[in-house]
Amino acid sequence: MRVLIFLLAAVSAFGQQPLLKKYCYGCHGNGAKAGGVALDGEIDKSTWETVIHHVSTHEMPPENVKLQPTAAERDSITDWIAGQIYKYDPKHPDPGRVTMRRLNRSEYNNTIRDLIGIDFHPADDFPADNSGYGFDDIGDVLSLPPLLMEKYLAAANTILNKAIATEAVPSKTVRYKANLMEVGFNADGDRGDGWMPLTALEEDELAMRVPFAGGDYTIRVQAFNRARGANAEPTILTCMVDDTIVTDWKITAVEASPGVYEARIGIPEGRHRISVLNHRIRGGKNELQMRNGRIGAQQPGTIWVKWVELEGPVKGATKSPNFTVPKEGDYLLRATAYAQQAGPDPAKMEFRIDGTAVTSFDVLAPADMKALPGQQVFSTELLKAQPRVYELKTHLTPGEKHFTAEFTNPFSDPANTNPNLRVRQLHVDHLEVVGIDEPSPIPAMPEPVRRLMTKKPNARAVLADFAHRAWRRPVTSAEIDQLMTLYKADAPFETAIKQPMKAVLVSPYFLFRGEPNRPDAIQPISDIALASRLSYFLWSSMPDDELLGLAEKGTLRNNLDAQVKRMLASPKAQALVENFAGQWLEIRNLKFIAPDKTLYPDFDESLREAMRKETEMFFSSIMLEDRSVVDFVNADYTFVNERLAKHYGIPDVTGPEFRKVSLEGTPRRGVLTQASVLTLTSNPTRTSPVKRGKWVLEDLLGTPPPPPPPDVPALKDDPKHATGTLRQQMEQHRANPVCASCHARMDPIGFGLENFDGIGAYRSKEGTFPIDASGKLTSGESFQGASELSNILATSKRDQFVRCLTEKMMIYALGRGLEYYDRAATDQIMAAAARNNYKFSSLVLGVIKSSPFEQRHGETE
Amino acid sequence: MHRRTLLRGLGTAVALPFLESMARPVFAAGKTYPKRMAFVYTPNGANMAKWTLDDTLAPLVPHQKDLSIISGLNHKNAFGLADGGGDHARASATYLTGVHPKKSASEIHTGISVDQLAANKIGDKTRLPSLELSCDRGQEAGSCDSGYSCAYQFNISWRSPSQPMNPEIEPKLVFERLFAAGSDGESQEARERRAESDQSVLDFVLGQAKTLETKLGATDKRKLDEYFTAIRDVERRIKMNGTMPPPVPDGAVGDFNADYSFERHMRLMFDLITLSFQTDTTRIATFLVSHDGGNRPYPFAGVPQGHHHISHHRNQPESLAKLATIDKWHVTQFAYFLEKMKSVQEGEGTLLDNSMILYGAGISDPDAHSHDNLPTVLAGRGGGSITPGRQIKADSVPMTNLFVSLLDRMEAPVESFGDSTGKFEAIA
Repeated sequence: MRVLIFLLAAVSAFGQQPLLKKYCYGCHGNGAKAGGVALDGEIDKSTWETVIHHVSTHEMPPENVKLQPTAAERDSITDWIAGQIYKYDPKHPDPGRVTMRRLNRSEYNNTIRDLIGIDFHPADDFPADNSGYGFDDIGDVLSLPPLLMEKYLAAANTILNKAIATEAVPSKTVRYKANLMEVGFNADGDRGDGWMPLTALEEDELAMRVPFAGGDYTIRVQAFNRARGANAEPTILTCMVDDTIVTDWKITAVEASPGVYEARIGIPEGRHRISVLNHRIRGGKNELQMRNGRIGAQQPGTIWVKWVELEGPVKGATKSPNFTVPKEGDYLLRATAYAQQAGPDPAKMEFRIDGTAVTSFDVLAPADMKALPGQQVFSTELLKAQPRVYELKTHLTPGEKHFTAEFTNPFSDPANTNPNLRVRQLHVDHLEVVGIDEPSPIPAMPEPVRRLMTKKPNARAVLADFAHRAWRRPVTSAEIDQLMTLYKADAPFETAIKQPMKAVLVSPYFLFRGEPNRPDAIQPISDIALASRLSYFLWSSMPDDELLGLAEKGTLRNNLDAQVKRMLASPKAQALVENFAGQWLEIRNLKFIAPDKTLYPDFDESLREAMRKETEMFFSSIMLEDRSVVDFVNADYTFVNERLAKHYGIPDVTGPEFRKVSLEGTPRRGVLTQASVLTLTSNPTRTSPVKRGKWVLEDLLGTPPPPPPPDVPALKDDPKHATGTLRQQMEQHRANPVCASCHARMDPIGFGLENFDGIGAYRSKEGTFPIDASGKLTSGESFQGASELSNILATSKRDQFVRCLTEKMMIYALGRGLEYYDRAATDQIMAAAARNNYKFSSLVLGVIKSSPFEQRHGETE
Repeated sequence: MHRRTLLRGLGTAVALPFLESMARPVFAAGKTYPKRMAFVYTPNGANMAKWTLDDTLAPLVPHQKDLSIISGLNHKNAFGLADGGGDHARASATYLTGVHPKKSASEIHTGISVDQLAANKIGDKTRLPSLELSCDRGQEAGSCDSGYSCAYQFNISWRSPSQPMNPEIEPKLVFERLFAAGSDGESQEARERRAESDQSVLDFVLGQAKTLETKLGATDKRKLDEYFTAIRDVERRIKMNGTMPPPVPDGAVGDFNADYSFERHMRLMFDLITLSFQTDTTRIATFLVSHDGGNRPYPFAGVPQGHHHISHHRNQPESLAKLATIDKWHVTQFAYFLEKMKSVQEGEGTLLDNSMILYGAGISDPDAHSHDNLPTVLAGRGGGSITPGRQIKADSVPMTNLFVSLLDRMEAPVESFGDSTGKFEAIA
């Protein structure tokens, strides 16, 4: 339709100027110069761009002016201007140009994961990426401060040392002063000499979160006990690695002569939280004890700790339960387990070697529990299972061995009034064996590096392969020659190869994505460059061998549909959910919101987490099932777990796992009524209809409201002076016509959502006032409540929504903002999507096949 | 089991513990101590009617002899000047630059900031030319103030008009950087080998970048320029580490976990600035406490509403009172900083005596988004070049004039800076 108008316009170019004259010259022509703008005089490009913007967003003519152009006339005006200043030809649009851009944090982490095979997120320590147009992958905005270069070097070092270990990780000892560790919430402070007290009332603990090379460590604690009562039992100090109890000690030493307590514990590779705490005694009869909302028996004494020391990894080799004993020696058998209890006896776990029992344990570590009616638990965390490591030291003869942990006494008591005591069940999470006398192994290489190393000792071949994958393109012989200058053959291969590999990871060819320039030409980008654009768009990571292979053969463009389908189905497409959806819908900001605890006592971390997960799974479902993108605004299903279901009032959902539920019979539809969005668009102490309206206009309709003028009066927050609902208060303020012009666009949308409070829960009243969720958009549609609003978005606003989503996807995929000449591409993508029922993949393919994605415009050098 | 835990700060009543075991003394006895400069920025202006020692500034009373309260300084370039909305982005973009920033979501252009100007001159005397800190990591989604790039609100230090010096947020990482710690427990020998390896890698990639440059268009070349600058900077730092090895710390800084404390975070950052000055790791620091326009709630101070929301007080007494409460809470943390700085002996005086610390905001009355008469406190004696303990009333003077005077004292003199019209020697 628009093309037709444009052609008519081209035929009678003079015919357009009357539109400007008719609608604009009153203030901006014939001698009038409102705001310093006269449209019948000399006008520079940037002013014309402003005119385009104001006309298309309805900012001009101002709302209070009666004579307004129709939507079609607005399009003619803007097209005409674009024709003047851009020589805009919708048949041959300018593809634009993306500035060379560096990998952002997410892309760096994912690229390292795929290139090297380790998933330890070095970029989490990098400074934040500056974002533009709502996304953090915009070439012009991503900068490279010296701080970041330092981090790149350090990261490359760490990555290569992890990937190519040349010796067993050397053992080191680190001592942590108790008064510098993380401390319990209510613990009394350091009394001045470094000793820290741990009482059991709130299970005081000292903790450190540290990265570990996997293996066994010796943990030592300097501590003494201040028992309460003359014949008190020694207080037990518990040691945990993350959520598992690994060991404990009875602290008998007294203040006059503190003791050093030691144990050997296993710690897996990665970053873990090590803590020592004054734990309540759990298990057996103690599970039925509850005081102050905490389960288990409170220990009466206070443990004082001065330092915690970790030495390791110590000598020894950790193995799986099916293992070989090379020569006679001592072995530790370990099982991480917990149990549900029933009946008079505790659950029993038997360790067996090749079927023969070697020992038996009473497993008192508790399983997940349900709160009893009337029971007020301090935190739902306390009801979760508390696994414990059970260990036996044994002497073994050479040969192949098979270690198992068996449950020997099942029992059930279905009539028990306490639901936690009906079935006796053992859960064994993890089995491992440690050869204490065996030498510590050299950590294995991750798979991608191992494959690389099959070419050793040919350093050239290894580097050629590595640089090829890391730089995402074929490498020239001259480049390999250069890399070889960093390879010093006098050191062992594994050591020497790291130096040139480090250079590969700090090279501009690794850190930047760009294409070589050809001045002032419009041409398709190379297949190689296209492969990278594709993979960073859909995976936020490097192209895999299949994609790169096709690109190098020159057949990528012929296989585009199949490749895109494959890529969307890959688990790596989760990056699209986290990065695109996270920024388009702004749910990444969920981690920063802080609802007022007195007004929203229900809000906690597990609800925050559940909100985010719901929206991510929802986006994922539309992507993976290739549904129509219109479902984003009005789908009648979502994903919840027990916590979120309770928040929404959806019955019969138990357990922490997420599952799909129907929204039939509920007032919720689509992304607009998800708790994540509703909470993000609220203030800490109340809903914000304005923020919600703005979110819809910006993120769903692509027509963001202009920024507020200075001196905008804020809304009174004081409940004492409230006259009615928030809506009623805001109506009073919108009596001012200056404010009303913008607020008429935002507020009705927000009012339609007032049935959802500041954390997204449904309410029919605001305090004592019933909520009026009716509204009318400036384009005329009226609605009653959220699902009718969602329906309008999906029907009469459908095209606007699809255009908005398309534009956002283009910005994300291209890494630049959109210019006027990108309209032709957007129109084409929308037309193709319409022909395919607006399926998600058709939008993605449309973006990928568009001229801006596929081509570029060179520039002068 | 996850529990509510708080980060333990570096030392409590005792002076920073790990400096007990420093490898070598930082300043030889009898030597004159260098001057230090620091800028601390708080967002969303202040309740200006209460910006007095009787009220919001009461926590500074014990230090009033060591500081001056300056009124009448402005940043005219932070006003709209025909660009329309965006005062929060402009406030922080102009604060240390005095330059009106370009209004664009993707093209960033302001000016070089005063701290970086000083760092260019004297930064080579220390291992780190400057230190940039913040408690705000940055927005992770959505657009920022009125069409301005988010870069303007989350950075106050600018190396060049288009290159922000991104601040470090995690205290643990700042600590590691100050002491050039590699992976935990790296030996001195291993550290030296790593420095050598880093040096040769940097030389290599520099060569690659030069070749790549010849194939690029003008815009891409400018991007690659940042790469060149960054490499040269790091190469310099590696050399410095060789000639001036950092002191050996004793102890560690833990991570934050789910239960965050803003107070702890701020105080840790102040500890780290003090530490970096004390060990002469750097002489220039900037601390963007929290981004302008931010809507952080302050329940721990008794204000559960968001800061930005409250700052649009519409002259309502209750909102004004809440705003003043937030202001005072910030000032309390700044008072902690001054105490720390005073606890470090330097010859006959203290570290604070040898420093010039600017504390303030780029907005005065937040309801009006004004950038006149900015709330400003200047602490320290600048090694004798500043006379504190007064109320200095400027008559509508650009803040950049103050910067010219400060730069003079840091031995990085300039003719003019930003929109300066001269010096501001009232501080002398």
